[in-house]
Amino acid sequence: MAAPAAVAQRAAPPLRGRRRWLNGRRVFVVVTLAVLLYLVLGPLLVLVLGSFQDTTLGLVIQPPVPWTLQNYADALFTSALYQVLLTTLLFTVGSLAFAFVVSFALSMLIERTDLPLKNLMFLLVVAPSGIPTVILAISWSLMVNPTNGVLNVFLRDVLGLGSTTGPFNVYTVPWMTIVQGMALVPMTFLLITASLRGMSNVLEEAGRASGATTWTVLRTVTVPLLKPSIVGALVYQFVTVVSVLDIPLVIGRPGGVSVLSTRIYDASNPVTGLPNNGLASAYGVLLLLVSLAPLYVYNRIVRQSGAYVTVTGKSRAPRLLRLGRWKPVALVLGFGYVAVSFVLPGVVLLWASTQPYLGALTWESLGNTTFAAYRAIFGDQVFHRGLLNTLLLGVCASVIAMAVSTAVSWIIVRVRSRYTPLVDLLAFMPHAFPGVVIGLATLFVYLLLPLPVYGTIWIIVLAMATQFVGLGTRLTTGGIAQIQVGLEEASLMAGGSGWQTTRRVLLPLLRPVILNGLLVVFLSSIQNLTLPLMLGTGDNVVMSTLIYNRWFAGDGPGTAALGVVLTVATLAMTLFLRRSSDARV
Amino acid sequence: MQISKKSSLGIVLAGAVSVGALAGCGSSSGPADTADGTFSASVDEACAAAADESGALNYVASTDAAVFAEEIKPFTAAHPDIEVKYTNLRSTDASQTLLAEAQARHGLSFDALAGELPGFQPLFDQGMVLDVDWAALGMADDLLYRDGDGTAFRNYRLITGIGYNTELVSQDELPDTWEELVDPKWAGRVIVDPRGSYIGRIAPAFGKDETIEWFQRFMDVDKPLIIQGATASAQKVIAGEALLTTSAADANVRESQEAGAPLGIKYLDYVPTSDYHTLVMKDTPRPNTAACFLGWLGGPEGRAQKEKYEFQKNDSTPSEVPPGATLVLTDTPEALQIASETSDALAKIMAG
Repeated sequence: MAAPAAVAQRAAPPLRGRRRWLNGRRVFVVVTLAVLLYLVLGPLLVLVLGSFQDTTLGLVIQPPVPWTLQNYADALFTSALYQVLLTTLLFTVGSLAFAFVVSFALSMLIERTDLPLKNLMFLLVVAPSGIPTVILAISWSLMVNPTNGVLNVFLRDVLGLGSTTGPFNVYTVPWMTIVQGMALVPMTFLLITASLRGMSNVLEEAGRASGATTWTVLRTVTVPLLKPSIVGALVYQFVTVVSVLDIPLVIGRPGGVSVLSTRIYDASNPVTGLPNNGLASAYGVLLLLVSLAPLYVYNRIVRQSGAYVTVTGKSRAPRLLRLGRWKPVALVLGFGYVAVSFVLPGVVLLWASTQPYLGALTWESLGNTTFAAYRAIFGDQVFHRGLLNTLLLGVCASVIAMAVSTAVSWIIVRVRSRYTPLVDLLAFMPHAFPGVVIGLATLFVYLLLPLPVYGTIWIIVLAMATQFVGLGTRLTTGGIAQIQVGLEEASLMAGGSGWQTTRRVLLPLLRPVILNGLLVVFLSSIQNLTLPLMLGTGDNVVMSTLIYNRWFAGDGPGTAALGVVLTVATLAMTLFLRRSSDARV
Repeated sequence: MQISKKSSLGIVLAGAVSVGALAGCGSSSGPADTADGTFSASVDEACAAAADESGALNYVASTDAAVFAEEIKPFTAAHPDIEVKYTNLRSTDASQTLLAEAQARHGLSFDALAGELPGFQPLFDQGMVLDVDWAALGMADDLLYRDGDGTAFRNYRLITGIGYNTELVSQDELPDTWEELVDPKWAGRVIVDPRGSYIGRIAPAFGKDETIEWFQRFMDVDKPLIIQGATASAQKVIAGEALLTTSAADANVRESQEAGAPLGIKYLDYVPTSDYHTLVMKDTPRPNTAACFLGWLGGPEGRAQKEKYEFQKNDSTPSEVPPGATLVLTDTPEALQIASETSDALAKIMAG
């Protein structure tokens, strides 16, 4: 990242130096915005153009262009829309509430208390993001399907229920909401914990010293100070849930539950012909418009950055809250949660990967254990190439996305201009774009630009970095808002250059935020399927496409074995970054 | 600080790079050896002429890459100078890439493709498919497909029946007809695909309206589980969560049985088919290499390899079809159209 050369007017260094940092700052702002525009404008153009086109024969960029308003008509006047919107609202609010309550509680336990084994818990909270959705769905249906789900059969036997189905049915809105809530936890947890980790607890301690209870301090100090991060995460995850497809398709659909995302999927994926990208784009435009209001609120909060400063010259390492006799309770609740969210599907994943075929989860099935799926994948050259590509993709996409995000967030927080909300909107936009739109735009940009990335892993890296700039800025904007501007000013006043100030003051203070950001973008990139499918060739195969292709070809154990490898990669990267951020045990 | 007008201009100019990229022109496509859009040669002639064509043959199908590599070993042993570069993509994804490349006037990434015809329809509609004389390459008449100026040949045919758990359901309990499948005894224990594509394929013989009317009764009475894809459906039947699936194809069931899974298949009075075809792109710079490879793939050795590794057969009338049952073909654009329209209607019923 290029260095911001200086900060607010009141900290102006001597005249010659001041002119230098003003010029440097201007160049930095222009270069950063140019990079952002380069990444975002292509997809934005494809989104808008596509939404007004009949895309039956693909997106048209050469005349004659088949213009139409039909996509918006189809999007707005779909049948039973209000019923679907109501279900979507329940699903969204429920899963967000679940994810944020659990994530906040876990973040507090891990970052603010003397809970033992907190690094292990951190690892296990993040780990589920490595498990393929199909395996998560199989886990839940094996446990809670109404006919022979393990939990249901157990309860029917124990309670002496006469029925042959129930008492639980995973294919309903409440279960779909819980499973989606759990799926949101790793990302939400990382978004919140980054700020909590970087936040000094001087104010919290002052609150306690003045006699406030832990609850009062939490309510009146901690949560308000975390407001930029929490609201940023909320806005981001709101768009995630509204557009999420995996859980609604594999858990909602079997029970006939429709939400907006499945409706969009159905409408834009006809049985024959190409996906209707025009309709998908129209929905993308509408989703972007819906996101404007919460984004505006978020931006107003961030603009009052002075109110959220906790990292000042007087800061010191936070003192941990002693749990005392609540320690066993906290341990049971924390590890109880990870047992359900990770250990259960993890066991199913391991079991599935060692079976000749996917059947019922029974003791007898253990007699069929085989490692044939592992032998097959480890002996496959494409797997080795895919694994290498995946690691390259995760690392490079996360580094690029976080570098751009940090620079963009610095402008959002530090530059006083009426245009900065627009910068935040630009950075957020890719998250509201349907994946196919970013895929198509990237395809066109690198087909037309004379850069040798088309058909290589680098085109996927660039597409992924574009997709996740919105995610990165949700972290970095809140993180920079927590850092007192005076620290950067002091460095400049002491004769430090812009780059020195960035390297020695800003980046070290942002370290927890950036490391969490690298992790969330890494995990999101290696799991993403849409972009590698759209930009894929034989040369740039990655793990997510290998998993998809194995499943599509009917190889359940092979899919699970690849899932195990991806989960191990997730755990390794989480452990590495956690240790890099000087974990406190 | 306010962003100055100069800075703003710089930002806009920089952003215009990506916009300009979308509006500008790219490199032109490579030279085509098939200027009139037709190609005719025997396999031997094509293989001999392939030596004059440079570069690897870029071939797309939806077979697992490792399986494909095993499958074509006899070909690569016989033709060590021909490199087949394989990409595992569905027909719709491959078509989307090729259409974008054509729009950008870029050389095409793929020379030959295999998959379902509906996914390739935009390529036929855009006149991007080469008119290959497949008969000259040894393909039987009943394997050939033509749509406009483009041709393809069928390289395997799947037939669909009712998949069932052999440990939980006996043969006697199974329905013999689609009508008998409408039975409350299967309520909540039978699976249907949300895309409607498996059942929609009976419409060319059963009738579009009749299929839709039957399906509505089936939904009301059987209250099926809606599960997408043959793999997920088979898993639920094998695990005993469901007893039957309407998304069972012969090759998938044979593969599961080979692994020891308690999965059987029964064909009813109408037996839908799914045909998978192979085609060559009109602008390929390697038509002879493509013809040489595809001539082998569609010939006896290639078919035997496909059956050995993927359990996929290419019989026009599969021996498994019971006497008296109607094999429903979708081997013409008209039949495909009826099947597609019916599938769409069924999908809408399921979506509510």
